[in-house]
Amino acid sequence: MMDYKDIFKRKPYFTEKAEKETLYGEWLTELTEYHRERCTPYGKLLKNLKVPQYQHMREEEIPMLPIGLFKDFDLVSIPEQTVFKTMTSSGTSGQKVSRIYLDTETADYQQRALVAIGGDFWGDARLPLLVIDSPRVLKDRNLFSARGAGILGFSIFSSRICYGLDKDMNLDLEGIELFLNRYQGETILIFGFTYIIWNYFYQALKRLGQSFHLPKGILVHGGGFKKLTDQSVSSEEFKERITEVTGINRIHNYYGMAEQTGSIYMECPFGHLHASIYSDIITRRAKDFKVCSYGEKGIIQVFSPLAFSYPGHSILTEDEGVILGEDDCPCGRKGKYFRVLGRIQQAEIRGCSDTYDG
Amino acid sequence: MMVDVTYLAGVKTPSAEPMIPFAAPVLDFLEALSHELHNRREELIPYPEIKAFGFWIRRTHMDELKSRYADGRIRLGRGVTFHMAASNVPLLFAYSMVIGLLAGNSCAVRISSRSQEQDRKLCEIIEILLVRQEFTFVKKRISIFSCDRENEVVKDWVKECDGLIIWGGDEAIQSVRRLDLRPGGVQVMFPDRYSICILDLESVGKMQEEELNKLAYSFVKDTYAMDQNACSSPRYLIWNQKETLKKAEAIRKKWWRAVEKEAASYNLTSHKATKKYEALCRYAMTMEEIVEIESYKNLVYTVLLSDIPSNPEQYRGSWGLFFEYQGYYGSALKKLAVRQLQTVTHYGIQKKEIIDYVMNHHLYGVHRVVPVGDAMNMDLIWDGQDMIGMLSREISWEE
Repeated sequence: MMDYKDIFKRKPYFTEKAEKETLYGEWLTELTEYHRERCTPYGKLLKNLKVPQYQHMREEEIPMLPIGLFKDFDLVSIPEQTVFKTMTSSGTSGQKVSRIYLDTETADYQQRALVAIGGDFWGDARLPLLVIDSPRVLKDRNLFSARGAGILGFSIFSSRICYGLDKDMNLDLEGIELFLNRYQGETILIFGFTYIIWNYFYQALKRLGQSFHLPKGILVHGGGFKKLTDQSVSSEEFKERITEVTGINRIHNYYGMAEQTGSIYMECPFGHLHASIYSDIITRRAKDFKVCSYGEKGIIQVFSPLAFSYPGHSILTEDEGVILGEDDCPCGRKGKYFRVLGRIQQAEIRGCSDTYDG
Repeated sequence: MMVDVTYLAGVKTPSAEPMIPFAAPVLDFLEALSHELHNRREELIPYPEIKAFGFWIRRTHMDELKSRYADGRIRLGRGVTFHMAASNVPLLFAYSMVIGLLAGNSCAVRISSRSQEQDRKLCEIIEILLVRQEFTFVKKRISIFSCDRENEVVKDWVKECDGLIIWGGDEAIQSVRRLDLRPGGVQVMFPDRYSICILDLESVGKMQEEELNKLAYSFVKDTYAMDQNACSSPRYLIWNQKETLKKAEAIRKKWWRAVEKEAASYNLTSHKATKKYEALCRYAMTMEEIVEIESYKNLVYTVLLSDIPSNPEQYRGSWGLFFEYQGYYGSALKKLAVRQLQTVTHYGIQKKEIIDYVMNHHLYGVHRVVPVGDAMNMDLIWDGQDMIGMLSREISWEE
């Protein structure tokens, strides 16, 4: 059985390469065996891919599950009656979404991981939380997705919550001002999805000619720049512009996904995303899935020992990134640090069926 | 309305004057085009498909096609044919147009607004030729334009044309069928198809290395050249063998290693690699017939099956994912030959044997039997349809 007590005894950014390699080899081998027995389609996959049974594997040998499969298969390793919560990934209407089945234990592990990671960045005290989103995201079952889960997850850090957008995604300037006035001079946490912050908060402030002065604010955002690169907004520009209108200097992007909630990769002041003890990352070459060298662009594979109710401990994503190094980021955090380059570019595919036609 | 239509070659409104098939002005023009493409070979190095097209329309090949129809029957074109080709097959529009012209028609050709670079390049060269005085006549018979599929111009041509040619699979066909069509017009449609390859195990086993590599090269040309997504790219490889042979596994692996080597220059992007691995996992999780999955780097994935699944056309290998079956080819062919089975490529078995099998067993599928390496070759007879016959009218007569 996985020793989660041991995992949570550890601080998120203190484990060095050699030890982490040993631990991840053990944990992930164990999880692979565990899910092989309990999740029938996963077991069948491993059998057909000839993944050896009862044999220790190193992290990089752990079979990877393509992230797209969570959209088409119910991948679950627990009896139906113990499913406590079903997470879905964000997707526009009509698009298929991933469904991740959590029991109370797994959901608890994920939350504890998030608390530990957040705590490392802004301390253990609860803070006033300004959510840049609409409260409707939580109320409307149809909208409840990665966005809702993110908000719920981050509300664990809050002493008090204010939603910055109304039900129609309009900026609630009055409400925000009231909230900020009450906590003037205090550290406050601001959380939202990258493109929502940009489109509904930054753009709205710009339009109204308004700005805030929050030198003690900490802004945390995730979900990717994909929707912003269409407007050609880079990570650097995002930071600059947000600082311009809010006075916030501490801005942390994070990389994470509904398929591995909680064990997110936070960005340090040096602009690097960090793996913690709750997660790890490998980048692979398209040609043969061999592991890339540091500095080499590759397809991102993510690991998390927390995926216990579903076989999501080793996932091949559809993102590309570059691992910059391990244990030696100037911020002092141990573990791998990296940059995400975004979604893999869709290639033009040849073929007789004219589905891509315009 | 004529908005958002870009005319790329020829005239806006081609003249509707039926001609005899393989008329001299058409053959002369194609010959000149073939020469022009040959002369520009340096410039066209980045576009191997254009070079292949230029070779296909060479005079000797056109004359050879003409001789097939020298049967004493009297044929005349229908008028104007309208062509819509899938944009993700390079130059398909050009092959389609040439066939329309050969059948004695004027051609309106719509290419996608997302058409590829080599499509545009060829249009440029065609236009350079058409402005020459000697081709004024042919120019009036050609209109190549680009617009999106919903454009009014497309609807007008679908309604007005005497012959409609749609390449692009089931979906494209269904959307066109909903439009207003000329009651007396003919339609030549190319729906979704899939293809297979049959190799005789013993024959392959006996091959010298050089020969084997050559065959593997031909196989790669049939498959990887079009991302293994063309209707005529084999997805299944049937190893014909009477009984289970001990050496079978060694022969198969030697073959796939040769394929891997020949496909080494294939551009397997991150997108293709992840989607291909995802497809492999999907099959690994759901298919009942899997005996063994092998991978040769990420370039070649093979899925050996104990039996042919029902609905074999739904298993799509792309970018080098092949389903394999070993046993008597006939019993496999019987199950594979659903309506959608188009091309059978073969080595080590006579084509007559395969065709006889199809005939004797009254099979639905199999429209084409060609040697390994010829899967992508265009022909006037495609998908069981004689395009010259369909796009011309035959005048019957009595004394």
